[in-house]
Amino acid sequence: MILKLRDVAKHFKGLVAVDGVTLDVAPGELVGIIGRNGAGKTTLFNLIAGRLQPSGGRIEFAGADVTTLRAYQRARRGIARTFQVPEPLGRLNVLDNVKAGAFATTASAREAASIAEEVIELCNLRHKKNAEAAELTLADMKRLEVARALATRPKLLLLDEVMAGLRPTEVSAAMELCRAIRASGVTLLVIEHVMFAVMNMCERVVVIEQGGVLAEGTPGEILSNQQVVDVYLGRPKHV
Amino acid sequence: MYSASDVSAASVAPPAPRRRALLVIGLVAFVAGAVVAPQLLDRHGVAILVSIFFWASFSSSWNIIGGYAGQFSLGHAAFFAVGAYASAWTYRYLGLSPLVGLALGVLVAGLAAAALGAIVFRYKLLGTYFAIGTLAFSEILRVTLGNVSWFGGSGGIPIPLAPEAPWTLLQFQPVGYYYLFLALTLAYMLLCWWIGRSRFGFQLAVVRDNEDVAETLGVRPESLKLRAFVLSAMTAAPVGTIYAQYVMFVEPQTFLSFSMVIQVVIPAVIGGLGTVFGPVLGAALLTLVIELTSELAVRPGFSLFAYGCALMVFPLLVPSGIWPLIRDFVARRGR
Repeated sequence: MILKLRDVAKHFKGLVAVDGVTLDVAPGELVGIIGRNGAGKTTLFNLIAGRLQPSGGRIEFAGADVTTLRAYQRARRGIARTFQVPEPLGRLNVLDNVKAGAFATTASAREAASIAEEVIELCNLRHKKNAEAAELTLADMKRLEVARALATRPKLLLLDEVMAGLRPTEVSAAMELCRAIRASGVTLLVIEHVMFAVMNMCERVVVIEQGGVLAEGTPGEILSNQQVVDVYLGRPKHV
Repeated sequence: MYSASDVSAASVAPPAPRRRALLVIGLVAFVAGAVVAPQLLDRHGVAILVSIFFWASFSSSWNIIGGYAGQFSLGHAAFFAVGAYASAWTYRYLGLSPLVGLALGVLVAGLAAAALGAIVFRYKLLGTYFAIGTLAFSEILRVTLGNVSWFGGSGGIPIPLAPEAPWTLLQFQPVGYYYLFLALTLAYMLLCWWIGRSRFGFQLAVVRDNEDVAETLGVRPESLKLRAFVLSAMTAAPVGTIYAQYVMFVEPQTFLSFSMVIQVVIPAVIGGLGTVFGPVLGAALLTLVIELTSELAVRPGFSLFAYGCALMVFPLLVPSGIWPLIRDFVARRGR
């Protein structure tokens, strides 16, 4: 297992945001995380990436306990993430944004530039290379988020709703990108509301409800799980 | 393909060869002009040049923490004063060359910044609080130096003039100080150019924009800021040493005056934060505003009035600074 969560919990004063999540992710997997707004998905990401410290439980990454490590330490060990609301470095152009990520693994400007070029190519941002990050469209901004995270050469990539707000053609492009990233050997954990994408590209789906794991299984199992249908997916109206 | 960037990781990126050619031509013209200039000027003209490059080097040094790292330090004069006192004291009382004092100043300034930075960055003093914290440090140093007789108290330390001084005493005609400040300015410009294209500079730019994102890229914000703070402080000390030799005394009221504390910030802000040429342009412009208006001498104090107006007008007209404006103009024409 590349990632192991054991009874991970996060309390904000009285509020229980994440309540004892246990989850295993194998290397090379593409796992989808779904759930209602406020179910605790992003908080879970923040716990895995180290932006938040858990109130309880244990997080292992690549065989080591990383529970108490800070975000930058986990990033150095190979956990990368995107932010739900894109956080481009507005004063830098696209190439420099990605280069800033590439400097995570190399001190050489030349090498960082070549990693950045490679990632920009993969993420289909070549034509926007010299554009100011703050001036990109939403779809490109989300691609930039992925590119910058990918430039750190992670083992595990956490994608937080990179498809939300995209047009159908852009969603299929994003799915292609996820598949390509996975093919390059990176393990992916994606929070997504776009069911079509989740059900088509993930081999395993985890449903989060009220801070806990409600169900876990293949897309087919999740779609036929009565509890999940009741809580999250909903019943088709005309049946 | 990698293109050298002359500013902190931020670039409008005109075609690389054109950019490089422009940079080289600009630099050669600048250096040639700067070397020849004092030969064509009288004593007063040379004094103006000294003033320009004094502020240019001092503000370039502040630009590392204030511009590249985006931490608005108001304590920079403290490290400048450390450099001045280190050389004045060791020369006056131990008879050591100011060059030794200069090295000592760099060391002490670096250590002081490391100690201060360890506290302020660790406890996450950001923005205004960082400015106030560093200002407090400079005020504490001013009061301390003014009250400890060992450092000359409020009278400061006069630097005796040595007859037929060897160059190691750093005692020259004014034109000598001009060349020293010019060399220092060029060295700091080179340093800033390196920062802008290095990993250090890129990561500083990320921290400046968003510390949360920086952490996801494996950057530890507080230690990166600390490194920038120490580097910036170390570069302030030589400016202090040379300035002390130029004015031939050190005293807390001059070296840590409120105007010294504030004025070091202004050329970089007016010229362009986090850019190689910004502080130099800003220093030249502001010095010329003061000099030209004081020659007009309409009324006593008119030059300060004009200076004040310039300080209000420039940020309104060019909020990102003068150098980025020129750079963008050239970039657009290059397309």
